[in-house]
Amino acid sequence: LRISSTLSENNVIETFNQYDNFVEICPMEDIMKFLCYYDDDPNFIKIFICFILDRKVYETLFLDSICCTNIYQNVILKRTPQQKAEIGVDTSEIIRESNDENENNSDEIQMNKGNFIKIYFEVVDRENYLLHYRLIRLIPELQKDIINHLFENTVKNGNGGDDNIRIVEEFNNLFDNKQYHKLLYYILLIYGSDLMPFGHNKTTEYFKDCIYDMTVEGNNEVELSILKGILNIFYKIT
Amino acid sequence: MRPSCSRSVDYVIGNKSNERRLPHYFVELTERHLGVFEVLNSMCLLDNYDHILFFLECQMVNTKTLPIPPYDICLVLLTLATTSNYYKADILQASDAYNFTRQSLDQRALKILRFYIRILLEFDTSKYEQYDLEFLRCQFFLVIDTLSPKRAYRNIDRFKRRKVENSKLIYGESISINEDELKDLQNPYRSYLSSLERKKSVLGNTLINWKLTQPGEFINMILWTLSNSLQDDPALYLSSHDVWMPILDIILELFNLRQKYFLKNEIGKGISADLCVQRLSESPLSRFFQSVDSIHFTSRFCDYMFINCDYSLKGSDNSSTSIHPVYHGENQLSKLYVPRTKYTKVYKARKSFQLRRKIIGSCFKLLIHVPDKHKLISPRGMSSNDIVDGISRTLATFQNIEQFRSFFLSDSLSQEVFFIPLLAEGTLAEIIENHRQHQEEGPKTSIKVVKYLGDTEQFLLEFISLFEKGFMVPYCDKKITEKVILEIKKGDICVLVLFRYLLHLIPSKKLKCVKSFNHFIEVLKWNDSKRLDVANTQDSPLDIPTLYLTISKMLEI
Repeated sequence: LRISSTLSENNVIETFNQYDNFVEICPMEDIMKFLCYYDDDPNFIKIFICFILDRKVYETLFLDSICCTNIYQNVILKRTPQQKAEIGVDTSEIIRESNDENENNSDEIQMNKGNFIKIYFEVVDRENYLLHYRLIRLIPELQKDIINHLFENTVKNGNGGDDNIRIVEEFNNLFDNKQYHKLLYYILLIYGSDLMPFGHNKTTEYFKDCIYDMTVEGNNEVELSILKGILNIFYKIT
Repeated sequence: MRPSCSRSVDYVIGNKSNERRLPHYFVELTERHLGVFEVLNSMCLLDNYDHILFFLECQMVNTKTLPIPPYDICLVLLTLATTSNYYKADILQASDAYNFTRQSLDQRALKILRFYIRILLEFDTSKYEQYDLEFLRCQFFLVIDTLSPKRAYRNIDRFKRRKVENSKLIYGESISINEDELKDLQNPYRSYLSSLERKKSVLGNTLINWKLTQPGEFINMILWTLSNSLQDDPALYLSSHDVWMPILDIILELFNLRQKYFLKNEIGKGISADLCVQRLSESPLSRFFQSVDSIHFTSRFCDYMFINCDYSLKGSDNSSTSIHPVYHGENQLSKLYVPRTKYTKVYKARKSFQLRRKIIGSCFKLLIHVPDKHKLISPRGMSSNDIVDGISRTLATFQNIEQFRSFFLSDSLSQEVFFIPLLAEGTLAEIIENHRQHQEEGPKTSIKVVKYLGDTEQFLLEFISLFEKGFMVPYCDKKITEKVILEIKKGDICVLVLFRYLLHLIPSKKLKCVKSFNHFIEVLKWNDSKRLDVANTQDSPLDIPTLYLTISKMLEI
């Protein structure tokens, strides 16, 4: 039985916070090994994305950036038929091998990367910043690609070339519509990228002013006070 | 040559200035890092752990500048990692009210620590600056040096073993902490004020360095971890799986790194064997193993390494080990916690033996450097041969095949090649001895295959002579019971492990070209048929294991 039969074509995660809390599950490490055994399945990437973004899976100790990045770099980016289920068995040796091959197949890697992003946005809604944030916590190198993808469309619409403006525009949009939950994860997603560096800068100051003004007016949504805290931390990073 | 964690010493100043008695690996603080230190320090004093973690986490994203936590924050992170949800759900929820990262504080702390350990292991100067890496190493080495047990003295009552099925353990109460004995950690930095001068606990748990340096606490932590790693009780198992197995793993990685650094830079070159032994006895790993026992090391070590495993060794000492929870309440589930994950026996065994192997491996890492015909001064009576014998004798009496298999199921062959084949060989000899002792007289079969791992022809000849005599063929006059089958399986596993290592060293194509290869296969088949013959004559209902099928799969025949 292949896993693909269990996942329908247009499966989209929408109810990400409504998984059953009382079901008994196997240790994540085992599920992951099992999953990677099917890495040649056409739906593997889709299943992998759904799996790691599940709240309960994301919460577990086993799932961290080391393990996910390893699978991303060594399985997904180099998907060729002969690559099989070696993950977790002897990762150090896979990594050593992979270093030698890197230069030869950079085209293939680029293609696989584009493919991954494409599939990711098929599964996850474009504005679901919470899941975007979760993904970049697990595979940090994807931050750039996710942000590029999010703002690519607006570039084509022609609003000048300044990406920074678009970052602020989206902030204003969410802020004015009082979508504070989205706003929180949006902020978490963009910081640390080339577009939104840490430390003192005008954009951060602007964000901070907006949020402070709102709280002065007596609006004390929990997300806003968290945002104040994190923006303060971003300030301190030099 | 690429710098590694043990080789890179461009920025260390500990070996240069003698007035302050700094450790060799000491790296001085710069203004940039002082900023990070102080930010983290102030958050720590406010008990704002969420922000400490977030500060580090958000910079784990693609940045070339690595935020380096000071040694005291590393200790806080390690302690935070012990405050697991399963027994502290209430206090964790109260101190982490709106958790936007959706992960508990202890697990985030562990992930951050693992991230840094990984960086130290890779020591990749193309990713990070060399100064930063050496500075990071200095912080973690300061941590590990404060964690190492300082006294070999251990005061734990030895109880008479109670006859309880499958349990040799007594759960005692934890020893209360004597405040007078706590010595403050010396802060080596003049420009930085450590928060630990004012901070004694994290979310109700005493800081880990104070806890573990109490007499007997370090070994208790190891025993607590190992014995609970095979537990059925959910709270005890979670204590091991969620808290102490990952922490002990991190501690072991650090000890191994520290030992490598010591051997490379601190022991001194061209010293006499006597001096070398003396210096080795003070090395980080020696101090680690002194916590086990400084006088009767070998027997105690074997007892401890297989604590709570299913085996019955004749003549083992008739006492049981007293262990207690490292922190208060660890043996009880919190009312708010719902256990969801079902850990199977196989999973437990695999994880548990992975860790046990790692500790045993560290022990051999220490012994490998002891010059020939010398023994360490402390822990006393430690020699590779004795330990191989002791562990083999214990393994040979294992009653649970899954546990036995898990021990030998090495997941990274190359990293364990220096001791697993030796143990497989030793255990094989023990098993053969146990198998025939009821029947025949004569000298003990000696098996020497490990030294021929590089000489395939000789390796196969050794096995041919072993199989020609009939390898683990049950005796006709003895009924084939489950126990006999178990012994055969254990013997087969040892053989397979040795072949796995052979194949790790030479490709199977080459092996098939070796002169006695065909002869070997014939003997192997003959041995299988002998086993089947005995089973048939006895009309045994039990399936008798055979070897040819498995080996032919391994060799891709």
